[in-house]
Amino acid sequence: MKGSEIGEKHSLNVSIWTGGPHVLFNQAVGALLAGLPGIELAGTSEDASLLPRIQTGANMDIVLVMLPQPVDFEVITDFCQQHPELRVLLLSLDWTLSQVQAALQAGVIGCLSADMSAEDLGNALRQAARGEITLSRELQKSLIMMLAEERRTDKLSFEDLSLREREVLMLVCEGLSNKQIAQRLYLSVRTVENHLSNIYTKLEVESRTEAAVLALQQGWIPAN
Amino acid sequence: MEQASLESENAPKTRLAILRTMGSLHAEPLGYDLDCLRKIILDVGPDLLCADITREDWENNALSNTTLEVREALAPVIEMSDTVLVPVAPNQDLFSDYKAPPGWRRVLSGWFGHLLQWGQRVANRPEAIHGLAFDAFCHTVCALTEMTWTKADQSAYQVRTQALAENILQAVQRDPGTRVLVVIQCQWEHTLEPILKRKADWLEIVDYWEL
Repeated sequence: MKGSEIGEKHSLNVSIWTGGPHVLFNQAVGALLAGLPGIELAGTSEDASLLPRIQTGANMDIVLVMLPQPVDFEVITDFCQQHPELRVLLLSLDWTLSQVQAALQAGVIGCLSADMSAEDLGNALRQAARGEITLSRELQKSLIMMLAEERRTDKLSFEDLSLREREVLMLVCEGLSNKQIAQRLYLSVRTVENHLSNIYTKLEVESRTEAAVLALQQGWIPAN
Repeated sequence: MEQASLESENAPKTRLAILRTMGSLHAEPLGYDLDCLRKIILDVGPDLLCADITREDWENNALSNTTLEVREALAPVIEMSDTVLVPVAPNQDLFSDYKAPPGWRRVLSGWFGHLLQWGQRVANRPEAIHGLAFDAFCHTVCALTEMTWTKADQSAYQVRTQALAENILQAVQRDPGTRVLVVIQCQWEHTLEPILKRKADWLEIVDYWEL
């Protein structure tokens, strides 16, 4: 049964395969899915490495896998390529942006976080069955935040700062006061304050602490 | 080019004043000199204070190598204010203990030295020292004193003045638009000021009370 057909017929008969290393989790998800209307549990596996050996059948539409740690996206990629008729959904307690990207590139149709409600899980499965990319609500929020943050830090560059601003930022990271920075660089305190103001604007931060933390996080300035 | 020229025209001029000190003219410096100096610097509150101390001595806190004014007036004032001290001395040679070669040179030099000390006793207030009368008197006596020096000493003195001026100009160029007070022994002022005035297009030289 193809997702598009499901959508057209408004049918919600979805077969699920859960796979993952946590027995209790598999059983809990299994019990949960069994209680959802129109969803039939095809089977479970307690070892995600068994993914390639899943016995696919005519009644199976969705494979729901608890993301193993460490995750091997090559196995998932191979499985998705071998079974283009299946929708693969991954479930994890804690996603990173790179994991979501890798999962979508591997060919999975959705990434779900384990803190979603049963109702949301049911909706996500139906969405996936219709062929729609599915991300849990919390994950969508986190992803947007992560992307926004990544875009923000991506566009920030140490090179955007003038040579003098970089010197000032380095001394800020050493914990020097404005007067000490001024005395070190033989500039007026007012000029140091102006440089700091420019640094805040360019780095989109509001304080010297934020600027220093960003510089250290980005590796512009060595921590020691 | 046009844009750059416009920008330089619009750049704020740096205001610079030269404050003459006379500590080296005293064998026993007078107490009020330093109190007065401290007060002037605190009252004026310059952004940058160029002082006759080498960068090495200043950064290593080797104040014993420098003049009494720097050691006991400028350094403590810097600690208690937002003013930043910029060391501009090219070397430790202050010429304050200079002795002309024996003979007529030393006699004349000694006489001019006494004359300067007399002038300072008469003009014993900062306003008087920076007034027109003392200005003319001091410049004349200093110029005459230099005539008693050997060619080599005159040349060394000129080289040091030039280096001093260049260091001051560098400090000013590094931080344009600031208020700069140069605190210098009186004997350097009459040669230093003309060099700085040649840069008057971006440097405005004013009296210290106008800073």
